Amino acid sequence: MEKFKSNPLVKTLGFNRIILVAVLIALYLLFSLFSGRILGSVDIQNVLNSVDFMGFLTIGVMFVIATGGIDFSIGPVMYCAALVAGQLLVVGGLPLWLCLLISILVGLIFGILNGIMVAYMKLPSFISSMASMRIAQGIGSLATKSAGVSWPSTGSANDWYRKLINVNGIPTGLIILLFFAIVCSIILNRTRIGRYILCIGSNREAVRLSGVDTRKWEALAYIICGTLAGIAAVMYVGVNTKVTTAGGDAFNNNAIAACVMGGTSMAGGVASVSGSLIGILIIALLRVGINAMKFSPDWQYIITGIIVALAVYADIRSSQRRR
Amino acid sequence: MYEQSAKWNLYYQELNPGERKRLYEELKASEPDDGANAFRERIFAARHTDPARPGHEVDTFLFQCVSLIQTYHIANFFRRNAIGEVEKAFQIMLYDEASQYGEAGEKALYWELRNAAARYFKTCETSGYNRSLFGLIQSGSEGRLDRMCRDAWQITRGLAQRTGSEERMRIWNQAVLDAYLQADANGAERLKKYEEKSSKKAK
Repeated sequence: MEKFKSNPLVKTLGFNRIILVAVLIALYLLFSLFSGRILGSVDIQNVLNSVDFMGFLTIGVMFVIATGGIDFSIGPVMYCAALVAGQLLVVGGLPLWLCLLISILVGLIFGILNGIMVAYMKLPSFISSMASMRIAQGIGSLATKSAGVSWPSTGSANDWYRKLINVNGIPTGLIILLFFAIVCSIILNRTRIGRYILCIGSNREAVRLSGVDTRKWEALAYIICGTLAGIAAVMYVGVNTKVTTAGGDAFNNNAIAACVMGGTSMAGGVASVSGSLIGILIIALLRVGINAMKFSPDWQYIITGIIVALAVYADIRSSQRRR
Repeated sequence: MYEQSAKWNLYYQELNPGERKRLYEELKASEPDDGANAFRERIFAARHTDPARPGHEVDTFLFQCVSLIQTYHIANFFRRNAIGEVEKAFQIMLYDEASQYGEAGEKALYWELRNAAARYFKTCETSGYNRSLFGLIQSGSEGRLDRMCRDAWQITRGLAQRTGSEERMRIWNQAVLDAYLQADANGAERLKKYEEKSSKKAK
């Protein structure tokens, strides 16, 4: 194993990433074997349907985790954005393009709210994001009078937004996600914004004494996260036209587990966009694989819970080993 | 190798920039110039002046201590980029200018870098350092010292290994590691253990 780890190619690509890809392939083979059929294009499309919006949530929360914080409101904010924008579209009669923009705007506003609470008011991110989660669920419920909302389905007027996910079999959702992932990777690894965010997660006091406005850059991480949750809402309704109220929190665990699995440290200061994306692919494959094996969907929650616990344990062990 | 008089030691051990400035003015008036005073002034200004915002208190050298940890992390995947970042950091820290002032210039550079590193290790004593689980858990004293050791190694020998610039980083490495050994009484032993572990991984 040590010989494998010291291989120059393995060092360049990163041992963790290679292991994650191996896990992904192993899971695919395992599910194909135990479900009695090879997971085909329909299953892969199902995986991509989840990845399209979960990817945005995962990359967003990765920025926050990189600062050493956490955002538990991403899933509910995504739902809230989809509900508010959907209601304005269906009941308010606003143009679709405007509603899609409003959805992103709702995410942005929650990002600003979280950023102010954590960076400027010094509230623990754990608590403030729980508060935002409830606020988002409440607003979503109020906006739709607890009834939820149905976005236009394929074939009806205003259905062009569904092409954001798939056009004649071309996975446009995945292409959009990959584009954003590359942009976010450049921001994280090649720009001052990313460097400040990572450095704050590494040693906040040293960054502050260096003369950097740590509050501004920390708040920006939450704003990026919120905005990506708003974009995730657009992708979500592109896949699932119906949005119910008081939901979305189940997606928090998935996104956080994907980040941690992908090599983002819960202590802050270390983050990986590519690792996070592979992590979310694994979680989406698990969901589809469990369905293919005809297990109850409840098993997905149990398995995701176990994965979160294992990922947290592995992260703590690995940070102890790194020292 | 870079020994100083007791008076200059006092100047380089002080971590508060304002107090250092005051000490420097006193030393400049009372001590003979070894030929590096002009460089000392240049390096102090480079470290504590923000050209975009005059009067705003900054420490550009301290920031390099944190920033180079990130450079270490990307050095495997973006090696050329990491080399560029090390060079950029050295440019900010007037690394190459020191040679113009001879041995005294190199000594002044070493002590300024060591002062910045000492300030970095001082920040490691704050409660925000080495928290885990989204900032919820504060590690104990040993955990903090272990992480300090990791930081010291990563921005010196670790980064030098990954970028293949051991000779280029010689003064920086010595300054940071000396500051680290001063900050942790068991630093030498801890660093040796960490290095053994890291070299085992590299083999």
